[in-house]
Amino acid sequence: MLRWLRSRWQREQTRRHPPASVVALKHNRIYVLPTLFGAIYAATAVLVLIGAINYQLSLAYLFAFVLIGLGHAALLQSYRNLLKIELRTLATEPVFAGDTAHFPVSLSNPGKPPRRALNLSLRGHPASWIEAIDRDDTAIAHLPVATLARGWLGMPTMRIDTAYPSGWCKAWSYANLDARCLVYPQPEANAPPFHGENGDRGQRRVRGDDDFAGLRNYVPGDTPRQIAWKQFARLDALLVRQDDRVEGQTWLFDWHTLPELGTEARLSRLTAWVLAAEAAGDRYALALPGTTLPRGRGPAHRHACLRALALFGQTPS
Amino acid sequence: MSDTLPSRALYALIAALMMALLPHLLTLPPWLALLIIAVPVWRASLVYRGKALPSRWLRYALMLALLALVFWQFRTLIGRSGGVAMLVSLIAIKLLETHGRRDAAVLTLLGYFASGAMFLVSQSFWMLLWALATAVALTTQLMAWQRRSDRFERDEAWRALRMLAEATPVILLLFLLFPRLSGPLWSMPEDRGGASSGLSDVMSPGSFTNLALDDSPAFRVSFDGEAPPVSTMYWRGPVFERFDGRNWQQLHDDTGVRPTAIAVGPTVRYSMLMEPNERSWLLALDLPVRWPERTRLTSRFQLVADAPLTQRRRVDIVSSPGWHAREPDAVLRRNLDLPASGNPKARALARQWQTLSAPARVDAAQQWLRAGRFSYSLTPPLLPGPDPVDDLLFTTREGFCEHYAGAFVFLMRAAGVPARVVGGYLGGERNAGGDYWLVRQADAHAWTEVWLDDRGWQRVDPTAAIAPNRINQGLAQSVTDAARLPGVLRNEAPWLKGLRQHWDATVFQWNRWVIGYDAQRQMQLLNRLGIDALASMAFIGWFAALVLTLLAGYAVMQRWRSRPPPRDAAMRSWLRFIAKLDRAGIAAYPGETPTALIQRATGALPGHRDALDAIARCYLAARYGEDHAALDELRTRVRTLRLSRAP
Repeated sequence: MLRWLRSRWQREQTRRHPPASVVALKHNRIYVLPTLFGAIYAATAVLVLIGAINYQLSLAYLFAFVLIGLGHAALLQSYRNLLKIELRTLATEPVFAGDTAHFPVSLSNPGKPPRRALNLSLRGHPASWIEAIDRDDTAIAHLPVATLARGWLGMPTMRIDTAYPSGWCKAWSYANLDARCLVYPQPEANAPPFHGENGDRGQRRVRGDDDFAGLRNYVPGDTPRQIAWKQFARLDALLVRQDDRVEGQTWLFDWHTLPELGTEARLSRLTAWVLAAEAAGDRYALALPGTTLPRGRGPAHRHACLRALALFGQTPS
Repeated sequence: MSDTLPSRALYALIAALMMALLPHLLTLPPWLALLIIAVPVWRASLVYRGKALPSRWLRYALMLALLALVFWQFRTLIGRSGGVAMLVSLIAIKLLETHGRRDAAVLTLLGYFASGAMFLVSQSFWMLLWALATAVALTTQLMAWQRRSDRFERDEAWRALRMLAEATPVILLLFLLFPRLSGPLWSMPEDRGGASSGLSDVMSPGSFTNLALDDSPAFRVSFDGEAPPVSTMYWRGPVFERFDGRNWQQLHDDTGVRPTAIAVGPTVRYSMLMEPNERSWLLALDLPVRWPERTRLTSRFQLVADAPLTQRRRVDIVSSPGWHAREPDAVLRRNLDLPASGNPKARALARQWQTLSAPARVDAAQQWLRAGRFSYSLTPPLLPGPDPVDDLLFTTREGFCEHYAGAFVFLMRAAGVPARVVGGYLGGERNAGGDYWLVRQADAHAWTEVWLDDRGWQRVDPTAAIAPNRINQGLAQSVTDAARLPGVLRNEAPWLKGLRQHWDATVFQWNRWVIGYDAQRQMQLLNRLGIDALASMAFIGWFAALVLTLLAGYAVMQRWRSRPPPRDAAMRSWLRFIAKLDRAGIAAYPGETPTALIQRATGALPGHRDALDAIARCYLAARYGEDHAALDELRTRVRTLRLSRAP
């Protein structure tokens, strides 16, 4: 029963807050309730009222009503502190499983009064704090989510709340933002070094003397030092020297060479190898069932390999 | 992060709390006020110098010491004066242990409460303004705590003021319609018997002379219809029947037999707004025939409240100026009592009249006073001798109303006519603007009543025999040394009088409608709307209608605020231009930039190249450069543009 209710609630929430990459907080999607401080404040107002009744002080009556009226105004102010804020998702940075992913969200204040003291959090995760968004200004919050598993991590429902200006009541709203973060497999800690002999076609390259072994086309991630500037001047094309001294070795990391491990463990080890090879400046290729990535090096290649590992066995979405 | 103490927010809190404490501190003895104020000042200096808070033991010791001093001063820690003093001390001490936002929150709430208690000190208009300013200050500093940052934001004070403005409909609605209870929920024993002002319940030589120098208001009266002549406005207070040779006192014993009084003739209907005086006399005109709840008429025809007036109170009274009374003989006998000896000359004088009829004796005594060249003075010589009546009548011949009233009653009793002294006020100052009468303490007066068998009690004012102007024209015209009176009681420049009366009229309306707004007035207001009870359908209907109107107004305001921003003038002209292009056969694509559209248009309509380019230039300058000249040019160019149809 409880589970049914909870799933019902979730569905209702999703219906009320449909996923979108831009969400403006609408008036009927903002909820306001008094806080404990607000309740004690109300009790203070009632105490003043009791005093007014007892001592028959007309102005104390008036002042008690001023306190009540201020409380009501504070409720509206808290509500308006959220109203019409525009939330946008920004590009996420991939992380390794077990690390904390951050969903960057930009908040724009289209109105005149500054929005202050905003608390943002993704369901079940630590909150981030925005002190103020001035008129027509934008603030960016990075909302952390602890990751557990590799693959695509959808952005959980975001909660934005505020007790500004008075602290007597809390206004909050939910937003389902359409964003996802790629989570790489967790690299195996202390993974055994990759042995070329064990690897199927691990090749050891002959070390060059001082000259370069050849030229290849520039790929993003190559350092300026590697670019063949002479050839660039002559041919007007960016070429990169394949310098053996920098390059080291070439490896093929193959899924099939690790039959003794389970799927996730294999992915973990392959991830660790990819990272190690990249750090060592080696070239590497990756072979997974159904996917093979040719030899390469540099951040783009690294990302392609890790992405393939992250999404291995998962239905593309 | 959440529990650090931003120093600026703390200064703001201390300042706002000082605002809340100030009116209370002014009522405390100066040494205690200074002691209490030293604590927040110390706290602020600790923050300024970045020092730590004093140790816990020192704080507790300070708190105990302060509370002990308050107890020593007030003999209590609860109720009106002691309780407020304790609240003030607690706020000061609590400041010494502010660690974080939680303590700031507690202090802020105490500050609001102390602001509410300000009205125990005074219910003046200024006090209300001060309390509102304090509430705004407290709310403003609260925002800094919410932001958790140590910066001032200037707009926050405006935001707090705005909140107050937004709260106004709620405040007014509640103020007017919240059910007012009459009578206290409980009473503190020490709330009674504060320093009373005005008339005292003992009349001794000099007691009215002191009042004559007091220009503070005693009460204000508005008559329903024609006001009676000022010379008959005798506001009846204490009745003094016992004479001990020097002082006149009230008799509080009741004979058990009540006098009967019959009112004759027309009645006067009026409403009095009494200033708090810690007494219960309501000072009605003779003879009250209808009076409000929680008041009663005594056997001496005084209208008294059931409890001393500790705050302003409004009473609606109907009096009948003409009346007869029948008194039990015991009362009349008491009103002949004199001390066994003393004042032989006065007794001898009275004995001469004993052969006359009672009314003739009264006339004879008045005649004697009128012929005696007595003077009416604010500074009569003291009468320290054993026979003060003799000294006044035969030696000094100088006195104020209480001297003559006392002496006259002495003569009457000595001549065998039952007589008594009545204290109260005479006359008042009419405020033309506000259509009411202001009666000051200085209008305090003493007169007499004599009993004539066939006519009952008759008012005789010996002062009228000595200084007739006092009755008709007031004090300043009648005493010999008017220069001693406070400024407002003397004859003053007309413009000054006008100004003062205007101010007093404002105060009167304030007292009447805001401070005097009680259960009775609330009912009056509701009656005008056709509501006769708070639980009636009519009331619920009105209330619901009011609330709905407010809500609807708020909804409309919100709608208005969230309406789409008006497309600016440049955009409007541009849209008109696009419509013209459309008619010429060139449709704008969605999302097409102005430059791209113009390029396409000039390609299709080469003859209009200059006009189109100019329009594009003006549009961009007007819309993005906010150039008003370009906007005007754009308008005329679009309006006058005539396009031939594109091929």
